[in-house]
Amino acid sequence: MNGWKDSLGNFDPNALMYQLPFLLIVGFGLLVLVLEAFSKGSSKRWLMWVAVVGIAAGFIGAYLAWKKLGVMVPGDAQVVLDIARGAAPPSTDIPYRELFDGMLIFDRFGVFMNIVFLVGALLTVLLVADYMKEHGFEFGEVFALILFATAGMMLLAAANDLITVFLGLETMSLAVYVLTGSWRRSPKSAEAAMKYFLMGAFATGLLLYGIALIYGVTGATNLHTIATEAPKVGSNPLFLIGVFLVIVAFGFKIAAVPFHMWAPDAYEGAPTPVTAFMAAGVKAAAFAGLLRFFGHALGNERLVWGPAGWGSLMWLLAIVTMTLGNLSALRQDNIKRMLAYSSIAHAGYLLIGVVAAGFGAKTAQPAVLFYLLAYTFTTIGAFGVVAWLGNRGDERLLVDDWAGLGSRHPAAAMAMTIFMLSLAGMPPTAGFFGKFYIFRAAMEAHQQLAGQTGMMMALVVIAVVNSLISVYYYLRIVMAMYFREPARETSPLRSPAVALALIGSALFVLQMGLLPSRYLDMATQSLIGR
Amino acid sequence: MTRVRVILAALLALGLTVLCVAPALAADGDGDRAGVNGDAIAPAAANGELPAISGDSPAPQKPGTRDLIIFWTVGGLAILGALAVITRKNPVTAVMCLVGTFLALAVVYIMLLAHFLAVIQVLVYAGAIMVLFVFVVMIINREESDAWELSWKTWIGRGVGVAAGVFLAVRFITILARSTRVLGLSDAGWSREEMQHFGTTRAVGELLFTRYLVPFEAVSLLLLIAVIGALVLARPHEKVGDAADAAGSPAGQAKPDKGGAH
Amino acid sequence: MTRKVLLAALCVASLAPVGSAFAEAAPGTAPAASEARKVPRLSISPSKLSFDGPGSQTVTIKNTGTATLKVFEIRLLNEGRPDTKQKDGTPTNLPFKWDGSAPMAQDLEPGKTLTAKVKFDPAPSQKQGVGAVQVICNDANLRAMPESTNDATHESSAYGAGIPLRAGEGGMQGWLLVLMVFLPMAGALLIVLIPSKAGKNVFRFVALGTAAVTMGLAVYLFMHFDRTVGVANGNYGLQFVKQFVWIRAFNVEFFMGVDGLSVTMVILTALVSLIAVGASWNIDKQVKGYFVMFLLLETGMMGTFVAMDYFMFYIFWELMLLPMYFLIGIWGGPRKEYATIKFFLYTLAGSVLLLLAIIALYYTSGKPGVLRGVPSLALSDGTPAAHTFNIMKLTYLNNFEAASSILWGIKFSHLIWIGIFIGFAIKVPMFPFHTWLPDAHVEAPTAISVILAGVLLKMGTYGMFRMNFAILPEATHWARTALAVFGVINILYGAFCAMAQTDLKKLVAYSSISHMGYCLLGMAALTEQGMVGSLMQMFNHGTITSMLFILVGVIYDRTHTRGVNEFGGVASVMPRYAALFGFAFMASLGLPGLSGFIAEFLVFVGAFNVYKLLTILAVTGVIFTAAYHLWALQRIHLGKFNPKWEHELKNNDLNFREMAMLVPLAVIVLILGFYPMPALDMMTTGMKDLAAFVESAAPAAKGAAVIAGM
Repeated sequence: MNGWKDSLGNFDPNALMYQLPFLLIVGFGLLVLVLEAFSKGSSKRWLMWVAVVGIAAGFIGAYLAWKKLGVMVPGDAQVVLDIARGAAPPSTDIPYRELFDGMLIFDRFGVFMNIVFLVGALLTVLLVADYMKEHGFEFGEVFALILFATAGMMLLAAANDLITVFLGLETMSLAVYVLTGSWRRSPKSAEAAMKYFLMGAFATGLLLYGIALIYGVTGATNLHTIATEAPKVGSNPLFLIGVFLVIVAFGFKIAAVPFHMWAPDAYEGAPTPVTAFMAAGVKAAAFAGLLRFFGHALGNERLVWGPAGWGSLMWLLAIVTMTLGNLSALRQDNIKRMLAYSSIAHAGYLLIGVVAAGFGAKTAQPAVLFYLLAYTFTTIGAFGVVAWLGNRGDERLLVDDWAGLGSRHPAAAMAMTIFMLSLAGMPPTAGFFGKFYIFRAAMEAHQQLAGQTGMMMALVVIAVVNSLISVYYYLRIVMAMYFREPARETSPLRSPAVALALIGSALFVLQMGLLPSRYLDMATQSLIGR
Repeated sequence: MTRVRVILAALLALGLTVLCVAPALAADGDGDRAGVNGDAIAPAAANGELPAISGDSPAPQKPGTRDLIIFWTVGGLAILGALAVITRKNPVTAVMCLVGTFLALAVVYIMLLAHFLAVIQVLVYAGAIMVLFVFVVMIINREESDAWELSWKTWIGRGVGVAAGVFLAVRFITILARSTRVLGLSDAGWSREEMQHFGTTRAVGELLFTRYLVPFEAVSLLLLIAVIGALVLARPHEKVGDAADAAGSPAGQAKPDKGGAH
Repeated sequence: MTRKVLLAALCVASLAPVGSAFAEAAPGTAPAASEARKVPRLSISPSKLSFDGPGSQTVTIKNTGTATLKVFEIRLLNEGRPDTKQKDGTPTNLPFKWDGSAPMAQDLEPGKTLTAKVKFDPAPSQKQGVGAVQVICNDANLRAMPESTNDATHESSAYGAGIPLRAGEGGMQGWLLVLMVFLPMAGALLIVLIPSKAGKNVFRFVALGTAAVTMGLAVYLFMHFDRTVGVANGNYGLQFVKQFVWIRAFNVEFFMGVDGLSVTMVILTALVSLIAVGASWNIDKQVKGYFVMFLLLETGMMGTFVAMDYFMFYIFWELMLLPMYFLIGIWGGPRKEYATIKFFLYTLAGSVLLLLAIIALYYTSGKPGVLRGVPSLALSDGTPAAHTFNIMKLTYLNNFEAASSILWGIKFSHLIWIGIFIGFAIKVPMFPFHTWLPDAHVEAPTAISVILAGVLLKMGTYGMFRMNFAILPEATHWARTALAVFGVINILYGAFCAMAQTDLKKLVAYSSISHMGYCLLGMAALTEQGMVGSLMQMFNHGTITSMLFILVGVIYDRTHTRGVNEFGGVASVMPRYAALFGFAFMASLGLPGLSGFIAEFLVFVGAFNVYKLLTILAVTGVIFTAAYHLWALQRIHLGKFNPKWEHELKNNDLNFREMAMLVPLAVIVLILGFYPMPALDMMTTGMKDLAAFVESAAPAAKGAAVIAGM
């Protein structure tokens, strides 16, 4: 039992490079805490810039890690061709580093996810400072909490062991629970935090139970070991129940129907920038975990399909989630609730990608990654406009409150329109390419299953019908903004930080829609190692 | 209040039993040990390379009768206690039931050879944390109120819920029914030394600082967040524009200072 | 102030491709895990070969890596028909050849170079050519993939790269279409940049200037479009080709070109857009926003007609949808919200079907059994590709019938056909999907009605030619009868509905539905005459119906009503208006000597041999068409003048702007009625090949006989 010697003996100082983003974010989170404690003055707004610097450092860290992880043959086209011919994928290694006794794995998939989280954190930090000031519940720890939540997401994205998956999920969730309830004068915020916390705790319990069962059957918590063991024990009922429980737990986190009931209330009650963070970051992190565990480790055909396969369950989950999410969103008059249901529906679209990944569609992983990046910019942007428009005592959350915004605040209305179109998946916005990529991946899976079943095709058709339905309620906002006369005065937040976040995300949404090539290349290079 | 006293007495008795039984079990080296071990579904593998329990593992040994009796008793108590926690309306009763559950769990840990964990369970959960809970409950001394009502707003929601529930149940049953065999039990070929070593403070410590270093560190981050969170949510309100603020809440009808979320 | 600086900086920063820091580094840097590993690396120079005329140029292939590079083959990929080729795989009918013998496969030591000479030797009609030099080798660091399907000698992990070949693009030729598509967008950008206080007329004139220049370019295109070029001449019969790789991860190319089908539509678009700017002159609300949207719409329409990459086509298709939504929604009539969301959802429903079909076609293309002849789905720079979005390659290199599986009880290719067809049928609009059109027309401002009827409806029939007919010809034969039946239903149903209308604009809208039925019938005939007639009808309907909507707008502007029954004797106070009104209505009902007649005649002649009964039914439609036209004409212009409009209409005949819009259209209608050859020549250029291609996919003759009996 000289494990610690092995550990240290094999320890590669370079390994720190790979987790540079994580370390930087945690470090800056601590720095924010210390500065908050020792600074005088009532306004803690300046801490925002510390957090921004931290996130910028995180980006640099991600860049270095990306470089360090080296090259892979780009282009999904290559893999696609191989699959089309029934040949094995080319023997080009996907570079990765497995560290800390297999607890963490570093690959470009993780780095890409880190970038997504950093984007989410950056936009949230920019939005939240002035929002809190306007609504009178400023506190400096919010930046530390956002950074810590981001660190939790990074942990989850790098997790190669169910233990670290669990810890990452908890680290992230705990911080977000607190953020949700941080508007303490608002009863809705308290209610939101309570519901979110209870449901989250419930999901955590299920996750642990599932992990325990899987461990019991496979004797391992390491994802790679599980992947090799799983085909042997695939039909063991305890294993199936374990996998099932993990799906349910993740279903809670991504707010998939029927585990979504907390989401609308939590999204509505939380401070708007926090809602944005929940909708983008938390969801992205959960999908990173889903892809690693289901899309990759359990991506074995025997496990995926059939009455007891996780794929068939997730297939159903995707359909129900999309459909009910969209249909419920149709009836909402409150924009935050509408976006909450829309976010549920988007979880459904993303689940298609996970199912396709399970079937071995090689474009599915990059598709989900690209979608998440696009979705992060879009949804935070949309919530950002909501946050921007309200002021103290008047949050302007109803669709009718937005009437005539197009003539009053053309820039904001334009930005909101871009976000809505992107959510609806219209070109030339990022959302279009995201959706297209996901559908394409599903179609690739259909091709691979050709002759066996038309279920992937059915999934795509249902998704397409759903995205059509969704256009209606997204355009409701656009219609209110442009086609109606202004109802009453608005005095939105006058904040350069918020403006920066909104314009930045709008420009990125457009850029990813007009010149998506680089982002797509990046996503196609970000495959899960090992 | 008589009910509370009865439950307290029962829990006390249970705690005493645990304290008596635990050392006895721990000291009992060979005897039924292998049988006890059998109940452990792959005891927290020391380094993850232990063979998995699967079809080709050696035939399971039957656990001893005494162990079975203890396990079912303690397991049943744990479940009953947990149920009581969520069904009792009196917070003190609920908390005390929770203590009972924790204690019962501690016994299960002992049976799994996780001695360190068992002691920690008793010390930290049943001891420190629960005392804190009781204190808090006593201090707040809230009136009993109706159970919190979930917002099942529409019949659609209920329908989905029922459908999902039925689906889950059917799925569970079908999966179980499809199974041709139950999970095999095995001692996984452990030597006696290994079994004795397993679950001790030393072994746990060693694992924590080698293999589980990253989770260990991550937990520290988690705890830090919890502390900050508690701080943020429990800190007294600052005096800033109360009137405007009350109107500013989304509902527009904030009650005066209800003390945050919890 | 600081905020503005900040925003400007942000704009600049975001335009810089941030992702490039991550993505582009990929091929260059060595992997950390294998720093010691030796890798070969291929570089090809120059990065692009262009020829201004006949000549030959040298390609240098160099191994810049550290290990030996195995070069399996260097080939020339020409864009053209693959079925006629020489021994070395070079298609005979294309302008690029190896100068001397083709380079041999060999091992390339690090630092060594290999040269090959490419010769451009065009036939007189082959002024343009695109192709690529492709290198197939074992270099895993190239951004490509194996393509050695039929070369068993190659290792399975063969990779490829290439450089694009260009010829005959000298001067404007290659850029003309790009300019035509993006000039309106540039105009829109200019309008955005001009501050709002500049005055409404500034925006109007910028828009007018932009549309006029685009029209000028269209005239240039008309003059220089070579009417002798066909598919046999290479480039799949396309001219003014611009092609490069756009989104490599999806195998999407930027690919523009025109054949007879496209060029007709492009010219129509430019013409109608210019006229519509004139019709927009009296828009007074948010003029700036209006013209931005208008010009974006023009870009969307142009792009749809010249995009030869299915993906790009879809992008433009959707791009056209959005401005239209705002144009009706903001500047429309009282029920604009209902009309615009209906229009939007209907069209979007169609376009998501298109999207599905696009992806399905993409994944089916290039599969074993689907690909015809030599596989060359490579991108335009020679990068091998497994699947393609290139419409021309989907058409000529793939045979989707060959490997069509059954899904949900129907042949997969037929399923795709139906999906595409419904997508376009909504746009046409075909009978059960037409209900959005009258609503949209009634609410839309005049200029937008002009665009809607003049151009947008044609996108449906254009798409059917381009996608349904060309890509899935066998399925077209399978569905042709249904298509013809729907065409006749459209003709009759549209005519009957038009008869019942009391709103003049609704009447014209239903007449559009009726007229588009002729297009459907003509194309269903699958004969050259029928198809050319259909295309001619598309163009003529575009010009005539534009006139009709402008005329409706003229009277609506003056009286704010469109009720057919509320007027009478208008001819007595507005003679010029009455003359043009009569002219347009006569043209619309197909009076011989005007262009509408030519098209309908061609359609009937083309369809009669195939569908006798249906054609006879369709011809009766002409009578009803005449009926409602004449009836409306009579109610409005003849009889006693309604004194209610004394103030509005008397001494208020067409002004200069209105004449300037209507007279050119009338002249075009008249010329094409008497001397249609220039237009027919142009249209036949593409249609001849398309008709022959579709004909070649006909099922056994007995099927045709059964159909003919109908």
